[in-house]
Amino acid sequence: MNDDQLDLVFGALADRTRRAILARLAETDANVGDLTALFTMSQPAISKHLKVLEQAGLISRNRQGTMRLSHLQAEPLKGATGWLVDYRTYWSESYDRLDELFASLNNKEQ
Amino acid sequence: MNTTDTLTITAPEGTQNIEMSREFDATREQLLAAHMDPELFAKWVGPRGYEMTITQFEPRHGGAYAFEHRNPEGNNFAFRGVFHGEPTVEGFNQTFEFLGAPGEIFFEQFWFEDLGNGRTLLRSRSTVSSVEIRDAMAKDMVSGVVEGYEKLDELLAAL
Repeated sequence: MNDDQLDLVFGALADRTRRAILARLAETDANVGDLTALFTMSQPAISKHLKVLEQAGLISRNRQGTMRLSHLQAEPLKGATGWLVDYRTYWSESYDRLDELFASLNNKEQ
Repeated sequence: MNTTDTLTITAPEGTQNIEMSREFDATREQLLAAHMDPELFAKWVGPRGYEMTITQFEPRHGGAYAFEHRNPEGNNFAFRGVFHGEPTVEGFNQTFEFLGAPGEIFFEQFWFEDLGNGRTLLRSRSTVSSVEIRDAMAKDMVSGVVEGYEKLDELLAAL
């Protein structure tokens, strides 16, 4: 994933409503009416959020009959969360190893 | 091991910062050496099981550093940055860039605080380029799990 894509994904995930929409779409596909019913928000507002998610590549939208269904695309999320979660693990494991290094250095001195 | 020896990560509201703190059973001098001696640095930085290669290490004002981790699957992760100001037992400053997300440069400040009895508190503050990126990072780092994300986690795990 390149930097511009990461920016789009991070920007999309920074909003609570959009995260809730993704969580809902993880269950099943939904149309804008289904999603509007879930939130105290107007249909145009939900449509705006869907557009941001679509631009980030997090959802795709397909017409099925008269309905336009939103579908979760999880692949970009995997790239983003992989990078985010790694940051905590990275330092947590590094500092545990530093403890061990100090312990071994202190033993040598004694 | 002391129960205070756990990493704390916070993301203060209204800032672009990620702050960490961690106590060590070591002196400030030892902490400085662990960060500034390349042989020692290579022994602890990075997740377990990763191979560490330092290609550049100039721990002084204006000096650069670069290193690579190789994970057990054989993937390389490269990092680089520059030291700002002379490192001392009080702490040091540097930039930090993960080349997997090039151009996203963190400014990192590290402080070593003497707690007595040979113990030191390490505090750090990483400042990222935008509130959006900070918030997105903080969501996962601080809470561990974003609300309503359990299903997504399962989905991601299945990919």
